[in-house]
Amino acid sequence: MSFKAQLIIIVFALLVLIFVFELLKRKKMSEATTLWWLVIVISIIILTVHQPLLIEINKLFGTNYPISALMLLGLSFVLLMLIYFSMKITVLSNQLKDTAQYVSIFKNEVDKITNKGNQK
Amino acid sequence: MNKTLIIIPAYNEEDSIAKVIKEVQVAATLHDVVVIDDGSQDSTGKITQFMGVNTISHPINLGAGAAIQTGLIYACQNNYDIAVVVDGDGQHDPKEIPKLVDTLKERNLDVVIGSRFGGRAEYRTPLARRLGMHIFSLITLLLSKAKINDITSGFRAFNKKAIKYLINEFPLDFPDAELIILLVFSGFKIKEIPVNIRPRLNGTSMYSALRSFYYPLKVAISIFAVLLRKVLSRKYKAVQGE
Repeated sequence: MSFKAQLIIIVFALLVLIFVFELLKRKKMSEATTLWWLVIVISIIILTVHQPLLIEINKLFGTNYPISALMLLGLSFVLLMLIYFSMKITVLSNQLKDTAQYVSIFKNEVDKITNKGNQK
Repeated sequence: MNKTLIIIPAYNEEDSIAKVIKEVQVAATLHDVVVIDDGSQDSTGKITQFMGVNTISHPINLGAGAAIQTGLIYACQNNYDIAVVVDGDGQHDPKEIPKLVDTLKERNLDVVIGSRFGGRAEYRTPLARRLGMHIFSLITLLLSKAKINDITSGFRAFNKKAIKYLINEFPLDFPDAELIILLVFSGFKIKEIPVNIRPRLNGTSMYSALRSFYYPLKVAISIFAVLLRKVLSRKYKAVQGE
């Protein structure tokens, strides 16, 4: 991998890292999610800097170029993250539905008691 | 006497809901009625409350399945023996409610489905939808051996056992073929009887043109999910062994 490509990847990874920390600071990203992104970005930086390791992975994957192995790894991480977030969204949707159902039934009961009290 | 609850799920049905409630109150005088206003943006909830009908209002739109599930949770919490679901769009003829309830009780069934086939019908189902219904009906028959012709009918009566089961398991999106397969695989006794299904009084069906592409795929994946959960799980074997 050329020095220019290495530089671009590292700069981009660092920008992502800064953005993730900024979101963490503003409480727009949880500590758990930050940890996931941290693992991904640091892995990419290590593989970009440590060329022999990337060449070994390239051989292991059977890809033609080390950069392709890096892309494959990055894409796999992103896919895993997408599956994780799809699962999270489903869980949150179900929790939201359960809460909305609970609130609506509870409000119905409260309204009935209030109406009875007003009639007396 | 069995305590029966009529559940009317409604979303933006201000033009039809009053007529449906009046018809239900005439046809099923001894039964309690609850309207589930599924986060309507129009006056549906206000109309039902003004009419003095017990109304549960979702703060947001949760979908048809969740609205029915809310009604079933309410039925379970208030110890109802039977729950009948009647759509708020006026397609289900409330005069048929006693027929559903009587069949459920007399034949000792868990679920009775009101079918548009085999009886007099004021409404002719569009060809594309009929074709889709027949395909999913055939899939249901092959997978669960349950002969249900009107797979999309939402006109259903549930006994206490089915209510208790469905408060946690009710399918939320397009709750039809998936629900039938789920119930059959879980050991519930289901029967379909012919009833009068009418055209919608107002508004548009949830099986609209755009959704007609999504619907078969969603139902297919839902059936696959039920099979995964039921056939391959120990839970299914345990239920079957009971």
